[in-house]
Amino acid sequence: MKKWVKRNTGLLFILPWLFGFCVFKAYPFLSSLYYSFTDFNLFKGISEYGFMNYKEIFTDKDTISSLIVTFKYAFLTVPLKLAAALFIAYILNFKIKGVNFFRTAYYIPSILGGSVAIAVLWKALFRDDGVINSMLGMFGVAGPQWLSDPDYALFIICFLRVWQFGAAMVIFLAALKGVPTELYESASVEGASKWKQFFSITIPMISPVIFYNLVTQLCQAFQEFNGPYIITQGGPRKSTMLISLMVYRSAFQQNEMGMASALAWVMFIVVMVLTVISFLSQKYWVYYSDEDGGR
Amino acid sequence: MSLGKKKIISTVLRYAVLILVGLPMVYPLLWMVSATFKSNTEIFSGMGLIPKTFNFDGYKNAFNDFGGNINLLKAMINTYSYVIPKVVFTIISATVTAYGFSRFKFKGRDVLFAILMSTLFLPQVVLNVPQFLLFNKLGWVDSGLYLPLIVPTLFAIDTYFVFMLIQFLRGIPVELEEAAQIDGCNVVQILVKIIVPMLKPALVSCALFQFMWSSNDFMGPLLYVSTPANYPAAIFVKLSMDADTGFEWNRVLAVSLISIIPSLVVFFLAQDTFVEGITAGGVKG
Repeated sequence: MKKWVKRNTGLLFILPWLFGFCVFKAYPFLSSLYYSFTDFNLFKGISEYGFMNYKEIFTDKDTISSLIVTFKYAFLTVPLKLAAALFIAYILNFKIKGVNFFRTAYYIPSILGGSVAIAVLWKALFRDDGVINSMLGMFGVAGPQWLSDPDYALFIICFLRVWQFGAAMVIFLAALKGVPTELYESASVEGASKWKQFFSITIPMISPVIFYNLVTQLCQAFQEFNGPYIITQGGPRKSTMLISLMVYRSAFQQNEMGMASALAWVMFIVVMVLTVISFLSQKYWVYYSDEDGGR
Repeated sequence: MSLGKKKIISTVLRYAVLILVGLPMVYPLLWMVSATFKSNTEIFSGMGLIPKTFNFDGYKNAFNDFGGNINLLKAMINTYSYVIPKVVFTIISATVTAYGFSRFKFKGRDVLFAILMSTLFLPQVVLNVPQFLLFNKLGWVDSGLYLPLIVPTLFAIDTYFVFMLIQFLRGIPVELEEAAQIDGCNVVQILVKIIVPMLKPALVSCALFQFMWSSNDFMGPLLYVSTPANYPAAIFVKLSMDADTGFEWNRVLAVSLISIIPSLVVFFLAQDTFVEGITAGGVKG
């Protein structure tokens, strides 16, 4: 007994996690897969098994449009956010006076941005008579109805996320500090322009961090809920109806647990495929310095 | 153009970009603060940051009861009555788990570690429905004790923090622990007396992040809290917006601003720790 404990001390330490994993993750994960093949309703129970939820998801025009909206949202938000984060980090990495001040200013939105309070603020800013439109008015531009025009509402929701690029920026900044300065010096000697140095030294050297940010941001983007739920409720005309809102609506407003599980699984598979693609793509663009064959 | 001149131009350009991009970052927050002091007729009459006359109605009305046995103060107390236990439990459970994974070898460790890491990418949305059904069966939904929000943190359910601590532990040499072991310390003593003090900076940043994320969390209370008296600030802010849209924006914005003041204070007190914490997870390893 004593010997067993000695050999498995580590297991004893991770036991709480293992229990939590089984009860709060593995079990829900598998049972939602099971429910996704049923017509489980919270009050009526299960009466039918099969692929009907999935069939409906890929034929119903509301769910198809929601999938499209989710993709649009993610593919707009993630690149813009990463580009802004990298660009500002790159500038801050020059010897800038007051770097801490700027860093704080850029970072605060990502601390507060997820809160309901900021979503409320967004709603006030982008009202028809809101601040953004009075700003445009000063330049003689009549601003659109940002939140009630289906052509614009999604951009406003995206912008709320892009506005929170600070956290990714801080990660980039730390990575940029880690790029050895000798590399830039020798490149300058050889006459490479700043631009060229950025693409042939900076980007490859920090590619692991770009990769890390890409994967985490993708996962987050596909799960966005607060912004569209609070600001637009998925409207106008379902133009901001992200998948997570659909899941919420079918599960907790219509009590269709089976359908909600199927929607969640479709989203999960999309995120998983994109994550796997990112991981596989690593060998083409991500450079890990310690894999260099130990020179 | 001389080299010196070129240097000056590029420096000026850099500051210009920083300020230009910085404006949209900061302006909304400043506007929010100023709007809480404006009268409702003034709020949407321009983009200025200084109110024509300081009007405190927003703040006065922010603390009014609006029926349903809940007000802003009570909602904020509700928020922190589950945020603080969540923070404490997360730190304890994540430390124990990270210690077990990074300092011991045992059968199946690598498989379990792979599982742990894969849950880092597991979207919460897939788990919501069965988790809700489980908590419902246990009678925890809307029980007033916020059990569905708190209990999972006892079991290191937020993988991100475990991952962050494991990364941090990797960078700490084991010699000290070996010496302590020779001196007769058992594994629990080593954890408490050696690991925890060394992990302190990482633990502080875990605590800060959990504090922010849990205070901001909206989906959790939306699913598991439905008695108005138990509403946390996140729900209260949303409802006060729904209740008054179009009329009392100074009140709505004052309510919103007050609800994030604790987060703002914590952020300014611990800025550097945040920055260190966020980079610890991202860059090492």
